[in-house]
Amino acid sequence: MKIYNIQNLSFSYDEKCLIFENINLQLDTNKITLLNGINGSGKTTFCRLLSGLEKKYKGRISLGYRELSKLSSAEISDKIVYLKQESFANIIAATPSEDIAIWKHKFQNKISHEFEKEQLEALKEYNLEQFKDQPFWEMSGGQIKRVGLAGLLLNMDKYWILDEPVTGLENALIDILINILQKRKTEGKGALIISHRFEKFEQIVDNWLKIKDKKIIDIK
Amino acid sequence: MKLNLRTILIIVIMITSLSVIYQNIVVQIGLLIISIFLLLIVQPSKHKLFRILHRLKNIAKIILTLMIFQVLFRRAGEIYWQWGIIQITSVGLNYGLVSSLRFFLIIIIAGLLFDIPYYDYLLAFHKWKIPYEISFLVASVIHFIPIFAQKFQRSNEALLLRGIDLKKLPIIKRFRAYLTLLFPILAGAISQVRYRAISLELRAFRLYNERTFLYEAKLRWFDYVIQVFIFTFFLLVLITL
Amino acid sequence: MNQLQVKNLSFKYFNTQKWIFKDFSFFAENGDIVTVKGSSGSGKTTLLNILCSVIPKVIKGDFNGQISVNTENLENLSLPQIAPKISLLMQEPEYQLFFPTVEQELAFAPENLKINPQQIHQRITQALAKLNIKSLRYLQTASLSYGQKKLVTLASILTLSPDVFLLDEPFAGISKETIHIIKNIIQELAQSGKIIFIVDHSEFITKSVNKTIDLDILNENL
Repeated sequence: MKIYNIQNLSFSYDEKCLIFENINLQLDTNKITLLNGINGSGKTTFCRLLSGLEKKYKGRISLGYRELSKLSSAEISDKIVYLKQESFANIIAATPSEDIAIWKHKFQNKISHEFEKEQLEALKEYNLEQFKDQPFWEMSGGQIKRVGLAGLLLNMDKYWILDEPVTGLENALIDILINILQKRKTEGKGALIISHRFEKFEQIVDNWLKIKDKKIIDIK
Repeated sequence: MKLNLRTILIIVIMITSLSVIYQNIVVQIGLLIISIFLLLIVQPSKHKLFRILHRLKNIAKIILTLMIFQVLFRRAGEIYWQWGIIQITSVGLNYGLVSSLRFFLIIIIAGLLFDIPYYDYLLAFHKWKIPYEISFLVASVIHFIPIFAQKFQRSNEALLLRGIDLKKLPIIKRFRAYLTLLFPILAGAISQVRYRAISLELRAFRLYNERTFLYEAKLRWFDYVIQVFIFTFFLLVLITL
Repeated sequence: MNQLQVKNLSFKYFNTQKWIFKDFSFFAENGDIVTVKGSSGSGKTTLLNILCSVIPKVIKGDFNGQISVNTENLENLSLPQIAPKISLLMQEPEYQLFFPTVEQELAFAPENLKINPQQIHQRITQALAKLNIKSLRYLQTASLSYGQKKLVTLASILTLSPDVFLLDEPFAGISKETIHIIKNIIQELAQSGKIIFIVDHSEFITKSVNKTIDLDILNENL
């Protein structure tokens, strides 16, 4: 099953510089795709397009069976989750436990007692229990990155879009993420990963893509 | 003919002083014409002109409302029209028009000044013996405005990506959400200041009392000519009016 | 002849029991490339902060010991005085960008050092050429991608050209092609006599490294 079906996609931020030109591409729901490209080639732009943050594109992007530009942010976030490259960009609240809680209550609902367990489990996975009430501005870049990764664990049933998820992380933590990704694959859940460190993901990647000259091509 | 920023600033100071001193409609219109002329010389790109027109359009409603208030609440001089306690007087009308014209003037001049690259200001301040620290402070503020805007935009996006639409929340919950967002941004900015200060010092900031500059902004012949012209014009106006 | 001497360094933050360094001594000289390794939180950034005197001058803690660069004790110098001798490239580019355009950013440090404009121009052109980012010279820093910002901050420390470079995760968020370029620059700097400390998780630069400080091993013995 294809989670994304992209047809004749063209996009530029202003009228002058085209970033993508006539992209045709499909992403499988249950496969792991790795996307590479030089700095500034448009990897993050691609993620922004797929997550509905940029709606002024030409062509079609269907998420599931519906046109992306017509979906609300609630509908999009039901199906996919996008972890940005810059650690701070994924953070909303002041501490990790507050931040993870937002995934559940979304400022509307109450949090149940069971959720607190789930929250702690997610933080534990990345060795963050001791930091759960520490303010973000006192944490290191690597620790903040891990909080973002922990938040993903509350979205296991969605398709993941990960923009440079392991930069600045040591190998032990990278292995944790890879194990999680592998486990998800067996349950039919895939991901789009952007990473310069693709040798780390070699074992689990099914499709290799590269952005070159405003197009996305298959490699390997 | 690229005018030195110092010349431009002198013209701007003259225009704004005259605008504040004189409550005369003719003077305001004259200054407005001069400032538009200045704008055309300094920023001849269509894009920037459109931006200023756009800003004027947005502000127009506010200016109009203010003008009406001025007209109705300043009562003195000849009464042109009356209905009950509402009066339109000559002084009120004059005041209303003058303040609106002044407003337009400020928008045009602000638009002009804002688009000039920061480095030109740095050089102008340096030549006028303003300490570099002050220039740097101005630069930092300029640097931070888009950054703060970016941070807020980013928090907004983080919310969207979690499927949270602030506009659909009831007021109390929306307020709570805004607080949750704002607090880390401010606290983060404050803690960031410490690292940025360290970074500055480790780039040898204020190591010596003086510093060199990559570029120079020399005054050319037409700068001198215009500056002399401006001074005389200013004096003439002050004397005759 | 560049030298960096760490003598009997002991340090822990206030409000913690854990000593990060106890009586640690280390010597680096001309052309050394030193990697600083260790797990998250082991003290890699702390070490870099200590080497350039940020600890204890700005960030406080229980500090003992002496750091000298080229036989001059850093204790008696202010941070700006220390900058031409030893400077720090932080991991987060946002903390190190101050000016609207890239060129201004790169000119800042040499301007502070009162270097003449022609030489500043040269340093900027060289730094941009070495990092292959000539096209970014007149662009607004706010519009750059994360990777590009990292390269600009690296370029700004190249134009400062201190005797000792402290690089905190310089490869994080950089594409493979550019990593190669940065590796070459580091080797070039070492060959010209500079001392370079690198905190690096990714083991990109194992070949040219001749000294290693492994904080996990150090911490084990504390």
